[in-house]
Amino acid sequence: MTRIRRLGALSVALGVAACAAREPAPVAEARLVVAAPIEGDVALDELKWTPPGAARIVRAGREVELAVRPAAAPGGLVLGAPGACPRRWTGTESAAEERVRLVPAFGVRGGDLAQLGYGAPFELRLVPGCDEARAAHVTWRVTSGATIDLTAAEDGHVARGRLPDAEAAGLRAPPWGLAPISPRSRGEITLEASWELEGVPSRRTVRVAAAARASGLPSVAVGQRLWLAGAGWRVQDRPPRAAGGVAAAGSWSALVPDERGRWTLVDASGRALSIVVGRHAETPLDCGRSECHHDVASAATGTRMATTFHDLLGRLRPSEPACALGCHAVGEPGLADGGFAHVLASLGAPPRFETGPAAWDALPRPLRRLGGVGCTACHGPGAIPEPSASWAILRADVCAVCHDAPPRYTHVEGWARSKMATADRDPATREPACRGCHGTAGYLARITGAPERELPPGIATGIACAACHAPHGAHAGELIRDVASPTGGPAITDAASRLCASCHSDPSPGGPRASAATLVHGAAPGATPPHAAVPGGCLGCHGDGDAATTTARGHGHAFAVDRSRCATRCHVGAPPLDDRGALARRARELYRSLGGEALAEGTPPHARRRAGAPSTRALEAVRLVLEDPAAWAHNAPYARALLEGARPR
Amino acid sequence: MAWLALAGCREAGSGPAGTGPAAARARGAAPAPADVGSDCADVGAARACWSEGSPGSVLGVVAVPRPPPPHGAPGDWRCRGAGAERTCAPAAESAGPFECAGDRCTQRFPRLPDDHEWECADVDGVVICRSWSAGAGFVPGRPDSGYRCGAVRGEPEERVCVDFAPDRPPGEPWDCSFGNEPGTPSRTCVRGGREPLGRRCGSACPFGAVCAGDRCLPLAARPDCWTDRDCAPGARCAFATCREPPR
Repeated sequence: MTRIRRLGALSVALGVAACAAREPAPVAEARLVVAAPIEGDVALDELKWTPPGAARIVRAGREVELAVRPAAAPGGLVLGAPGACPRRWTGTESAAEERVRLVPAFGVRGGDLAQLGYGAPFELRLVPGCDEARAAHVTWRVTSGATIDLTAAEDGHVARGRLPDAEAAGLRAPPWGLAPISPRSRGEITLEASWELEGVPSRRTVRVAAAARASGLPSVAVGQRLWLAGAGWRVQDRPPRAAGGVAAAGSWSALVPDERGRWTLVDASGRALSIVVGRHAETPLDCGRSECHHDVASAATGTRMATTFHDLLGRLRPSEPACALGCHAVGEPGLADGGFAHVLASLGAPPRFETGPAAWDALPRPLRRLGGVGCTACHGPGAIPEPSASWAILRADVCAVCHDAPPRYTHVEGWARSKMATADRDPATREPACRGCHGTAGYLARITGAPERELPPGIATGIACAACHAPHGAHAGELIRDVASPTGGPAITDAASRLCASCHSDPSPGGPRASAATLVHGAAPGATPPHAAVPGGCLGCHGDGDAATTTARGHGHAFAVDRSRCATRCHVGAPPLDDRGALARRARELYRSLGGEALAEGTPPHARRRAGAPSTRALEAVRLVLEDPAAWAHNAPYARALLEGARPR
Repeated sequence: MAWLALAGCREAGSGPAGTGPAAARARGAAPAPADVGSDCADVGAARACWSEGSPGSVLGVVAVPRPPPPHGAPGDWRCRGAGAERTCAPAAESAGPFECAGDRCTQRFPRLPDDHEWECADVDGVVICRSWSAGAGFVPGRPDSGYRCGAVRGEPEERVCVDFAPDRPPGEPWDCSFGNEPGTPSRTCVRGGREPLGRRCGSACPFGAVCAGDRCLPLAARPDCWTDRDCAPGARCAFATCREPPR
């Protein structure tokens, strides 16, 4: 098969002009465009040449345009860049070839590097691009990921190691079915090969991973190895021409669907799992048809999810696909999944990824559709998802495909440590009366009025990302879902705090019971709420913390308060009085004496309150204090005033 | 030694690097001095201007010479505009390559009018496309400048576009067709058939085209139909434009 490449050269300027007789003798220059392939770690921005005075850079970007003075390089120009084979340009090429494409010093072979398998041995073989590379000595090191034994052979042209097993990689088995796999649990290891060619030190980064990332949704890419919890899985039905089958992989089962379409798997008990398989580039993006998700699609186009690649274009280094393309564009680099990296490699002339307003328009249409976190990035490349994806899309696992990549992206890791993550772990909290604040589906149904998505029995999602973040638009910055201030309470200007207050606020009949926001905004007679004006609202203490001093994104998603900051920021020299125990104890005693239920320490009244239990103004006041385990910190004066007012006289 | 043979004057004060006249030429300025009026387009290997009443026009169609490309083959370039404003850009920058095996070439990512969802047909070497939905979830880009587009009659939300000089593998003749599996428009060309519109007239030109300057050239394109059913009773849809049949 031959590929007919069309000339992609743009900047071949032949700059020949007649000289006026009175002008001094011109300096003859020729233009030479130096390019490098997308892959290969060729550092074109460090392009050098000899003789040094024979050329100068006219334009630099994805390509470098040189103005060459032939007279200063009678023997030709030797071009060199880190990562590339040296190239002697003798000027013998025809005029149509005033374009040099540097060849990477080494290619890499090693199989399906993006999904080699948990605990799998791997062998990376460097393929020299020139004689100089063939003679070079290469050294290897692991720059990130798990600690592994790495051995080199054949003068460093071969590296061998073994990937971490599933347990060591942190892969958690789901209750059933497809395993979600995040950057953290995919067992990725970054290796660096170093060598020197003609005095130019070079490095090449190679990433190997045990598994491709997966959201756990039953909408997956062709060629992606799926990891199934449990044993006994088999393919019951597959598309025509498909041949993929389930293979045992330790305590897991694995399947590589090799054709688009619907697959049905069954486990040992006969329970069926239906998945749709597709390729991102082949999935119609007609989600916004008027009879479908018109409003959602329109709003989504302007969100940071959809524009992330557009906004970063020119600052991304496409030669680092795992970082640049893995989370700012659709698809998994390294897979033939129709994702951005795959299509990029399929196109004949790689785009230039330049800066400026025209850069986006200059991208080929197939790449624009995949540049950004588009529909299929989260919903999967199967055109029409399985009905079971309707609830599964609410899981944090979907966001974890990008946002669980510590130490840089800690959103999901932090959230998993918070009480939000386990808000519906207790089956009792999955009852209809509780789901409005204990589960994502119930919460969204409550605040949006949309029908509640039904979860399978035994499934808990917690209050996950989608409860607070609206990836499709209608948000108040940072994808924070825009909700109203609680009825009857103070108008809260901060959008994130309004979200917190939508559950952590004054009890309303049949509604949420937690009261932290009520306490924060309540005022004791003659006093000012001490924390009502904290910059950033709830997140001022429960959120980002020292985000300004860390590069981690998502820092603070554990919503924990770093109390040391209280003393350094506001309560300087006078640490706040901690009467947590005394205040709560007094409240519980008072509650009991007023006819309320006996409460164990840490148990909020709404978890124990019986139907028909007495309710008086005094009891309600005490409940407000008891419902907020941090009443002592949020607003101790107000809490004390509430208790004092409730005391029998 | 091609570049060693180059000699010339650096133009002082010609602006930022890469933006001077020389650079502009290199980026594909390709004036068409013989154009008549401002409504012209490449048609296959030929070129047409649509200018009612101009000398030499046949039903408003004037055959004009197609200027040579900046370099390489005409098919390597995608040109737009008329007269001095005509510019060309490398075709490879905005569409996938043809991958050929024997007498069969496939273009996995064919050129489409814009970022909407499209279904297309290859009729007599002319590509006609109909949009059936906007694309969702990404930032739309600039439409392809080589397509001429309009709304389908009676369906203002539905657009139809026509490209008179679509990508083709080098070396005619090819018989090309679109595969329109949802989401995966691709184009396949097999060796054979006849040359695309813009060819020499021979015995006759197809309906919707006229013989001008011994070239079969399309009548003025005001895209408004996908099939005959989009047109008034008795009219027919030819090259995406409703036309009255000859009496």
